[in-house]
Amino acid sequence: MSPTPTATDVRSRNNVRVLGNPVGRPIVFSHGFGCSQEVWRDVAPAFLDDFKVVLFDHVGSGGSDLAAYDPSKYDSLHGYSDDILEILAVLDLTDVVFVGHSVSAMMGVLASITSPDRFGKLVLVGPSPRYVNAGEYVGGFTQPDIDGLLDSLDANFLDWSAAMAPVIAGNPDRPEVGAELTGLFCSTDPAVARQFARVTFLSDNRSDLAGVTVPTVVLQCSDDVIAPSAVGRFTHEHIAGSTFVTLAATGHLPSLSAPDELAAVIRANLS
Amino acid sequence: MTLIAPFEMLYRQAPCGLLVLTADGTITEVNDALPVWLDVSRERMIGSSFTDYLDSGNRIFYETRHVPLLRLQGEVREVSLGLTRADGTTVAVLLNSVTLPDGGVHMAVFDASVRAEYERELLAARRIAESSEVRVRVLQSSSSAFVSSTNEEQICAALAASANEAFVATATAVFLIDSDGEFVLTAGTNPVEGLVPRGEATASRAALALGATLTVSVRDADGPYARVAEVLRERRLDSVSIIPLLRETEPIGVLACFFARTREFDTHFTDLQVALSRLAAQAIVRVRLQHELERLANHDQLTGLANRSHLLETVEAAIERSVILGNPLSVVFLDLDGFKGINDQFGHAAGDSVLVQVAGRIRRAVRHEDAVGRYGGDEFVAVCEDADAASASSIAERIRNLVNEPLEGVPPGSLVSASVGVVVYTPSQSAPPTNDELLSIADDAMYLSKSAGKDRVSFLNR
Repeated sequence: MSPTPTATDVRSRNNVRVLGNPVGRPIVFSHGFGCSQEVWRDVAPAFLDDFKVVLFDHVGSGGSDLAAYDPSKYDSLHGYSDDILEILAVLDLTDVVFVGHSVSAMMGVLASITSPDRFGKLVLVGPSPRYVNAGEYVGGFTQPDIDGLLDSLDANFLDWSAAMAPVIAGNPDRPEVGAELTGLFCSTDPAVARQFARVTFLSDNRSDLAGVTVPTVVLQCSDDVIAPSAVGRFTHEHIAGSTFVTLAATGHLPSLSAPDELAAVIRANLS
Repeated sequence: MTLIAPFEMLYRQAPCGLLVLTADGTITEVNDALPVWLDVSRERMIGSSFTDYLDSGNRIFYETRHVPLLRLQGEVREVSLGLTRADGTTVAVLLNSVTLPDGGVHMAVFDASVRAEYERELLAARRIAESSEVRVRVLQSSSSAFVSSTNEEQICAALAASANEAFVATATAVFLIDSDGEFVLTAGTNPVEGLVPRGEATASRAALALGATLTVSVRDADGPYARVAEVLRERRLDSVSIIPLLRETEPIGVLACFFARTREFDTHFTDLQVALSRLAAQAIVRVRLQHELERLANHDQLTGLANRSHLLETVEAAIERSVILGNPLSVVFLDLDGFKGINDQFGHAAGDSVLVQVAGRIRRAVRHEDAVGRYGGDEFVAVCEDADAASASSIAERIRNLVNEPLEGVPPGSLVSASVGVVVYTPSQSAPPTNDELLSIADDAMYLSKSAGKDRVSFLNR
């Protein structure tokens, strides 16, 4: 076991930002695969008056400390869920509203099982306990689909450094193809993105759902190709006492495509 | 005949696909080029969703990466994607997109087949190169670590580190089998320690019996390793892969790699694991042989005590430490009284047995940290560091008393005793003695005991 990191360590490691009402109920927003805390920029403002709003980046994403990326630790969602618990611990938060998008939903599930006392509510946005089909279970994807995603990642993160550096080094004028892609927003290290993709899309957390004791609401988008409705329903059905809400928002990213609806539905489920 | 304005011509017949999408990705306008590439009618494309033309892998990338970036930045350039044609084949494209004030999207699609094919080949080559590079690097770094290791612990630590790096394991443990057949954690960490006494040993023994890699996962709850599966779950682990370390076919330990996530244990994985464990096992066998050879070269075969040359080295090193630390050093020299008689009367076998018994008694008489050796024939030496005259005296008296006790294998009454000489060296300004000098003074002290009537302890100082 590594020694417990200090509050400063955790805050800079996960680029933690605390906004809003200092004495309000804490609400923690956790981003999914492929982006950073930026995805909450249009949702968070709706909570600033009466909530203590906590935003952060997973290690390897956004403005997190890349040096803290330990491939062994982050080879499973437990590594990320441990980080979330450390953030809650250093900020000394309880009765937390945890809003987890996509893969972060399962991180929240795992964290709430380990330390239920910290959490008051889990809001799972587009959750999937398993993306790959298995027997009767339909996650929506097959192993070759995930391989295809890894190909897409490789094709877009033109990280030729290992094999091609000598060739490219000779040409300083070469325009940085894909620089926009890894520029300001949602910056992510290519090697981290590959492992995060594997951990996200090849994890199986179906058996963890039964362990959730924190009140939970599942928010399901219409026409979400990443986490289809059946998967959201599966999650709802396997978390005792959870509620299921279908959003009018389409796609996988309601925080950007329908921030007002998302904020309103979260609020409605907190009263 | 209708006249088409040049700019509309350019739009419709542009050498790239041009699309207009709504905020939720529905295609509301497309020029002539893209439907031709995709072999679908323009009419069918309008009203469909852009993601309909992406296969699953591309769709995940598009939804999790492209969409958020486009929304946040308002523009994304040169995204590499594959679009699916009507016949199921894929056309590689580069995509530039900008968002409109109403949330809609303007998109330009460029055919990148040739370039993408080239990149795909490069990528495939790079993946192969990287995978074999990892293998070579792991094997090279581990074997050089093994070569420079002088003991089992170092080898096991290098093995655990290499395995952890190579397999991105959550935890790696190396167990060696001790002389009682128990598994001893020699390097790494054992995340299931203490949860099931010997639970992991059960699986480890099975791996040894199998002589090959054994994997147990949380999904094996109904199998023979149900308890192991349960413990893995308790520790939030998914699986463990256990491979035996073999000397020829004889098991000497196991390497256990623990994973927190479902892994595919493919041939790449097992081949590298086998190669690593084989190298490590060879290295362990080598250091064991080296230690055995050293032991043989330094020890008296009959009694197992240090031999004369090893004793000389020990005394030399002890003098050096004594000078550095300023501690007194005592050397106890003893010669058996009456041993020649036993040898002559009852034969060499009986004599040897007496020597072995005496050796054991001296070992019991000295302190744990003292070195004991057989100097020759029936002469023994104990090297007692940080022992002044008082401590050396009690050690010497204990030796003398124990030697006096009845011996096995010889008739009662045929007693031996010890003439003991002790030299106490106290570091001072003058030059320290050599090992020969110190032993020679101890020998002189022993002769004082002999000439004063045997079975006693005499002292000399240096």
